[in-house]
Amino acid sequence: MIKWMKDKWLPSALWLAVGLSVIFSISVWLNPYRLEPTGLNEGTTSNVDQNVIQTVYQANQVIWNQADGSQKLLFGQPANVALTLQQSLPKWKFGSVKQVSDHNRERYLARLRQSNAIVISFPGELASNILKQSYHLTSDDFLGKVDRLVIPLQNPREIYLLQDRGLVVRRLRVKQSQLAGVRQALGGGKKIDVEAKVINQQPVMTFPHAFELPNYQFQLTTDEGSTLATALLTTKATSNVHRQHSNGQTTYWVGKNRRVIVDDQTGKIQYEQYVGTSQVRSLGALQTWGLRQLTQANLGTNSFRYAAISTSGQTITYRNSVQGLLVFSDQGDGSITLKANNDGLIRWQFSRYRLGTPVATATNAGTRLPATGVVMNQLKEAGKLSEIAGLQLGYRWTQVNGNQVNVQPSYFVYYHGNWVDYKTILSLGGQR
Amino acid sequence: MTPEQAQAVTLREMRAHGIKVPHLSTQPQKGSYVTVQADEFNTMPTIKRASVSIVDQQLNVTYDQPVKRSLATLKHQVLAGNQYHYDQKLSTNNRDVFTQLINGQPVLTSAGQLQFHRNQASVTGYSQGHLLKVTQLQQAAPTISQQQAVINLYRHNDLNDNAQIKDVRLGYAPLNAIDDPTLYGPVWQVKVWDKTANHLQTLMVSALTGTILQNDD
Repeated sequence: MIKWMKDKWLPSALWLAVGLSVIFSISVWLNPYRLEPTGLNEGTTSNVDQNVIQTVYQANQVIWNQADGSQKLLFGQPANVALTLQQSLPKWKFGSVKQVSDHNRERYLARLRQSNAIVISFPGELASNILKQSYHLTSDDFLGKVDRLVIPLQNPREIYLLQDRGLVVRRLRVKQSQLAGVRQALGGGKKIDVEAKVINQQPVMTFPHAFELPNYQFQLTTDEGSTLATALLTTKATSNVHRQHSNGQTTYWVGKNRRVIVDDQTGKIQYEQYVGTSQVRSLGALQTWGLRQLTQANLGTNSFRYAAISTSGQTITYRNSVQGLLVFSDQGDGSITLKANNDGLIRWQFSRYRLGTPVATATNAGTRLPATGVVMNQLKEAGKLSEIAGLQLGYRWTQVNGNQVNVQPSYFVYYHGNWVDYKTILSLGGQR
Repeated sequence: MTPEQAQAVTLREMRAHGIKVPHLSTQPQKGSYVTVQADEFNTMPTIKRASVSIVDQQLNVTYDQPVKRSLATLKHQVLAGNQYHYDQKLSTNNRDVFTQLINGQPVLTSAGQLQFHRNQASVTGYSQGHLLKVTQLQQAAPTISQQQAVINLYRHNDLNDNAQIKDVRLGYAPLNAIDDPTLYGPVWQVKVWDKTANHLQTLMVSALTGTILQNDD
């Protein structure tokens, strides 16, 4: 009887089981559902290392407004002015915050051009709680969302917190300051003529003359896809990581709601996690969440800097940086973009490749960049100017020579939701 | 659990394993990658009443007769002596060590040190490494904290049970002496008394990345 059952029914039953398994697998990937805890969950800033917050949420631009009204972009000061300021701020004492103006172009510009001061700018808005922790602005008051800090260099009684959106100016009272080290840190490096402007209600730093910035080389750090996948997917509860290779991609997964896909050729990696619940995070919550994810990605938080955020899209991007300027790669190398679960799905997109230790070069080669006006005219002639929504200096990840990466400075423009080298836009010509 | 709480738990775990840890700072410092050019001592200096040799970019001087002069006087007679600063932590009963500084921090390898060899009250000679040129490759960046460096060693299983952390200091050293002896970076140098081996170990942690460097024991 038993043998008869084995002969007749077991093969059919087996095929039925396999078929159902396939159907359920497909169903799981298409239909999100609640996940067992993995540790990659929501948290407050108290769950993130304070030093990591300070490292990742650093300024990417420092401008020195001189006593005569001229403005200089600081580049390559050995002591790092922004970091020196950041490390001096725990010794300061602060008072109250007061909003002094908004939607007032003249007053905003006056602060941006305030003489005998430094203007510290961030790549995007910082939420009040993040700014308080990354820059030790220990006022009890709400700081607002901040794109820039204006710090007077002599006996400051206040510093200004500027929010580009809405041209908001807030004043933070200073009871005690400590600036000696900051003034000293201004020495060395390059000082490049720059002019702050407000164009179409948007602050822009423009360079009135052509200037040169150095090129750099770095060792390429390559993370093994399998190692990263294992680190991301393994928890105390689950250590059995499955793997499948197909069409130039390797997919790793654990359970039914987490997987890592590695493109074996490009090195691009995608991590997906179904959490089953949707949540729309505020600016501060998104910046905190992003930092926790970045920490757990095990890519080395010291090499990444906050680069961009979209609360509407619930995404946050971190990039490698060179001398404070962000690094951009056509392949997404040296960056990680995290999308929070506003649709029930957490997604990470990053690369196996990032910048490692710097390499000394035999020559001091640099790249000459045109004045901003020249760039704008070129974009206008190419019919692209109206499609540009922002401009910043950065470094482009260019060729990989063996185990080395070259990075060269360029202007990057915000073009249809992405930061792109302006030369790439020009090469598009009249295309739409 | 906050990261600070997690670190406190790790420290308690270390103490439960008999590892003695002094109070350690949780504040980051600053440091940067630099390249160095070591003096090859191509021109052998003429030093009276002494024998001189150069081995592996180290100048070795042995006085014909031990001298009883002050270190300040002796240092003044050494090539680029004013670049070296006395380092009490590296000095011992029979060796007075002076180091060059990079970004205000001591050079932790002999490549940038001047060591006077002593026999009781007399100085018998000295060995000198000299960094001719130091070029900063990038602006300063924040380091991991002193406490984090020690925790990284523990998590890397570099600290045996009952070890005693004697000293943790920031300095500069080669990051990969084998592949690129000219690339230096800030490192946390951790002195550990290994009770089992009855031996003082020197462990190094890259202060910018937190990675454990090949120790120089």
